[in-house]
Amino acid sequence: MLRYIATRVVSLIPILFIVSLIVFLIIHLTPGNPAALILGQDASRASIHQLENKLGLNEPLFIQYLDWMKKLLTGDLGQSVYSSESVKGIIISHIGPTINLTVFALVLTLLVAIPTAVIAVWKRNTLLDPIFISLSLLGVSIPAFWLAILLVLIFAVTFPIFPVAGYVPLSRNFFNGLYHLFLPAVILACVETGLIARMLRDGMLEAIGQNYTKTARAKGLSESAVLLKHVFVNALIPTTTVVGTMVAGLLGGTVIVETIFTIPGIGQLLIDSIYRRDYPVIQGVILFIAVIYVLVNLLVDLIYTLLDPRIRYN
Amino acid sequence: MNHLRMNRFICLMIGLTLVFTLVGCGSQASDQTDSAPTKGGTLKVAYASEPDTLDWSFTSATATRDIGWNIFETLFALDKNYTIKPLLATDYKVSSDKKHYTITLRKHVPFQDGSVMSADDVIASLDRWRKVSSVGQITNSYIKKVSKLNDQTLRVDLKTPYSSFIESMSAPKSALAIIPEKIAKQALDQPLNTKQLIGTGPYQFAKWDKGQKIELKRFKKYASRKETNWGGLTGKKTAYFDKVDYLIVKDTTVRQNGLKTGLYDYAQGIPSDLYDTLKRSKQVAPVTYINGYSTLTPDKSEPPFNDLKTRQALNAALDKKAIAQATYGNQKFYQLDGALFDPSQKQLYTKEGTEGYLAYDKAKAKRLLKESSYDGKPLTIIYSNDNDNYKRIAEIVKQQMEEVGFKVNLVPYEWTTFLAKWKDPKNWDLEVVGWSTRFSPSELGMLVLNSNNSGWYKSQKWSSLLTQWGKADTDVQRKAVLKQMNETVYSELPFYKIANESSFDLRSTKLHYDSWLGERFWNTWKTSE
Amino acid sequence: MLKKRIWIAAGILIVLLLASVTSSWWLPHSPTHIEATQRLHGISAHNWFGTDHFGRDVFARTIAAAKVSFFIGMAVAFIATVLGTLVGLVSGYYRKVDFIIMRIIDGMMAFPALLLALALVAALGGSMTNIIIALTFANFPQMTRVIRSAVLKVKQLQFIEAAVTTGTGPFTILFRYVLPNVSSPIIVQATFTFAKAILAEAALSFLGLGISPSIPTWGNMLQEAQEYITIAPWLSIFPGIAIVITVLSLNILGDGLRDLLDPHRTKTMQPLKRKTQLKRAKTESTKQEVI
Repeated sequence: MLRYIATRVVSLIPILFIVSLIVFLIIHLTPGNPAALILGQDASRASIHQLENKLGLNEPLFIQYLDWMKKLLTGDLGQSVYSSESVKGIIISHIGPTINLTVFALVLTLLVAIPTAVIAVWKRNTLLDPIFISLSLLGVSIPAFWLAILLVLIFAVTFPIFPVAGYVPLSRNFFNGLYHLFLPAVILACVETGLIARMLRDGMLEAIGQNYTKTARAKGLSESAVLLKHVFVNALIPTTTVVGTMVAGLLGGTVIVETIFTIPGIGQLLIDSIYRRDYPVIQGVILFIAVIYVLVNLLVDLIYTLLDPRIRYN
Repeated sequence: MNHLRMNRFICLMIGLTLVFTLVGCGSQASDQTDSAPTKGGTLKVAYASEPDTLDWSFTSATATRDIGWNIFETLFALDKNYTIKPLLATDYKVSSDKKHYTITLRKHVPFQDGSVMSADDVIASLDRWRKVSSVGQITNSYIKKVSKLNDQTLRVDLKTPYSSFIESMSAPKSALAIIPEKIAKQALDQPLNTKQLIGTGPYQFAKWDKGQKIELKRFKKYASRKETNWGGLTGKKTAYFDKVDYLIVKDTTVRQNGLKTGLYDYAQGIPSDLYDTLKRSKQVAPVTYINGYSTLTPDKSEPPFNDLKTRQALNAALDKKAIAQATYGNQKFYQLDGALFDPSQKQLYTKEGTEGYLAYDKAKAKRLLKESSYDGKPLTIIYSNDNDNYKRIAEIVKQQMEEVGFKVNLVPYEWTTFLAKWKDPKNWDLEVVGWSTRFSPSELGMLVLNSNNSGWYKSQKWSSLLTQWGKADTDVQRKAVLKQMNETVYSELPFYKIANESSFDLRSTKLHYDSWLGERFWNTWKTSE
Repeated sequence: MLKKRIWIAAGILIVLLLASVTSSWWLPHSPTHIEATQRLHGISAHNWFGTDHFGRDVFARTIAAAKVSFFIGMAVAFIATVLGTLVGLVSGYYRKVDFIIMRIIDGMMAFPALLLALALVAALGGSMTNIIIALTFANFPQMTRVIRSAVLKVKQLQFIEAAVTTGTGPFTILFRYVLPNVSSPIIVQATFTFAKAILAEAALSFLGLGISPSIPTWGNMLQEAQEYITIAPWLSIFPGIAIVITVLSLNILGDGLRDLLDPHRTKTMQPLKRKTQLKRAKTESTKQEVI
């Protein structure tokens, strides 16, 4: 097991290398002088030149990348052009709301998706199946921002049940915090549920075709017992991988939801930084999200392996 | 233990409050009550655009002004009728040759760092203002010497008489904010950093989370004047709130919805189209005030707008009536008027010489453009997309320009980035921005010679008119200069005035607030029902 | 039933596409003409979807915007498909380069597609070309993965092995034998990419980072409509419905094609090897990322 974990962790190195390369290239792709971008338009030529030397921008791209990597490995993500604070500090101060929102949405999604998928499989030969498929397709076809506008109009403006925007840290007031996060989380979850429920259903339908299911059925177990004991449990294990996908979807979705609800998280930080042309922060946020995504997937894989030891030998 | 129980109690209270707010929403009918002012609490302001500095002297940006004047004060200031009254000064005397001003200061006025204001602080602030402020720079050319007579008195000697001297010192933008001598000397020609934001105002600076919020807190030792009927920026000021939070909320919809649902107490910059609907609301009340005018400024340092012909072609291409109507919608919020000042400014307003304002003539524009040096290269219009009006003006201008043969790209920026991009002529050919109401020709930011604000306008004519203005004493003389100023603007076309605008903000009906120019939050309180 | 679904979805898309491409001939109003006196009018016989804050006809704009959305969607789907197919074929066929290519693809897929597109647009600027580049870059790794796993399966088939042993060149094998056999996942994935690109473009425009606001796109329209939601909800409703109809049709089409072209999938009652099932769960699981 330890050996497996070790190989899995080692296999991340090339991925993280590629991730860092892409993030590095984003700023070097920009038309124009990176030093001028970092310092802003009103910088003097002398200070641009000075920074070029300091950052080694006159060096070959390869050397620049190595230098950048060296700093990165010591946890130095650079400095914001806008507020001149460290990018690391800025990201840390924005991470809380995003984590809360993502986890909340994740829980909501699973709470709805799992029972829905089980029912869909159970009643797979009835009219519920096409309805389920249509709804899940509809779910992935609605733009999150449009849904957000409509839900805000209905549940926050016309019937003021939920706040239209804002964020209360959960540490300050847990329930009020959740209350503020509810609508944003529902919107993220709505979009995600269609996809996840569909994947769970497909996984379970496949499990139904398996030999063990047939054996169980042959033993004379009732349909619901077969479904719950054999199909569902067996399908659940591979679908832990789904959580990894969800994290990507949710992190992408937070950009929009945080902007609409003015939640001071990573997503809003990214959009604001793009408007401010604050490239070091843009770089930092993108890198951070990618690394989180890679790590979550590693974690999911490891949990998965623990649950189902067979995979290790593949 | 106690702590835990307390928390639970607070939760319960919040829950109950929520329920009551929900129930109460429909029933609260009372508008601004005349109940006695209540002290305490936090005022939450949904602020549309984040300023790049809070240094009130350094910039003429409205976002800076509207927060800055809560922190800082000037020697003289405008009252509610836009007439000049003393604030930190008690009085001034001017010699018969109009070249020597003696200004006396109020005693025992504390700064927010604990020191007490004296003539040294005022002289240091004046020195810095003469360097960093656009209004100060113009004033500087008249000043010969500033000297201290005693701790409470100073004397300013002018080279030549300058009739708008006191006027300039009370300008509400690029203002002569009085700061401690030590800080003025530290900061020199740089904008004040957050540690240097020390003034004498009713609120003091507390915290700035860049991109999120700016926090002010009550200045406990504030020394107020006594006059209750002056209003504006002077007279008696009381800071009722413990804290004022300016939350940076760029989204118009969130500002407006947040106010309706009680998330904010005051929201800036609401689309004027919503006026009729919101006017009827019981939870919110409109706040309106004159707010200068919107402009389109060409970069005159580079082709194609260094050529007057191209500028004339553009003037004929702009259908300002259509632009204003489509941008502001509600007639209550715009006015087609070509003058440099607002009609309510009786001393400064003249319509004479503004014949070139509405010059829409498509055929003429096409003809002039052909005769001009414009080579068909796409032009860049920059604007801030934090402001919906600028965005709309840019869009319509693009369309109207393309109809006569210009090629145009729109490049929107977030406000602070826009300010940075604005500084370099390479970044833009045309720029859309609004200029708030000014109180003297020397304060007209869009005409500050050879600056980015004016698109590097160079004009002998304009600078001699400014000199004439400084000498003009009587109303008749002044009006004559003003007329020539209008004429110069429409013959040299340094910028295009689009339309006078009125601002539309929203406040909670629980907020006791007197509308004037921009947002000031002293003498403002929230009734707790 | 299945075929009917596909036909309806395809029919809707074709009608919409034709309507928007020919719109300049038959639309009664210009989508960009500003009519300052006709602002924010509701639904009427004259303006079927009402007018916006510039007095422009919302129906005309919704139809005209379809052109832009379809163009971007198609361009992204096409380029991503061509790129993804080439890379996927090579990667699936040549085990030696496979490792390197797959690590690069894994690295690219570590970014949520929308964020990658956002960062690229921030770096390149928001023109139509740059948005197509950004969305292609964000979507083609997915394509590559799907095609690679299809190639891996096809490669084990006997006739490919036979071709290899008879000395057929790799080029011929890849394009004459392998490609036709992986065409169904390609078509299905291309349809989903099309749908995702339309959603992503709308999201970028909505965030103010899309195509110039003067060009009507659904995202731009919704972005502008947001502040009028309480007084002019039609501005937000119609472009939103247009997006949903288009994307939903594409998704139904893709879903239907998948079932049609791969009848074994989900309906299968044959025992599958655990290993393949796992692989499938993983590849399927990254199929659609939601914007």
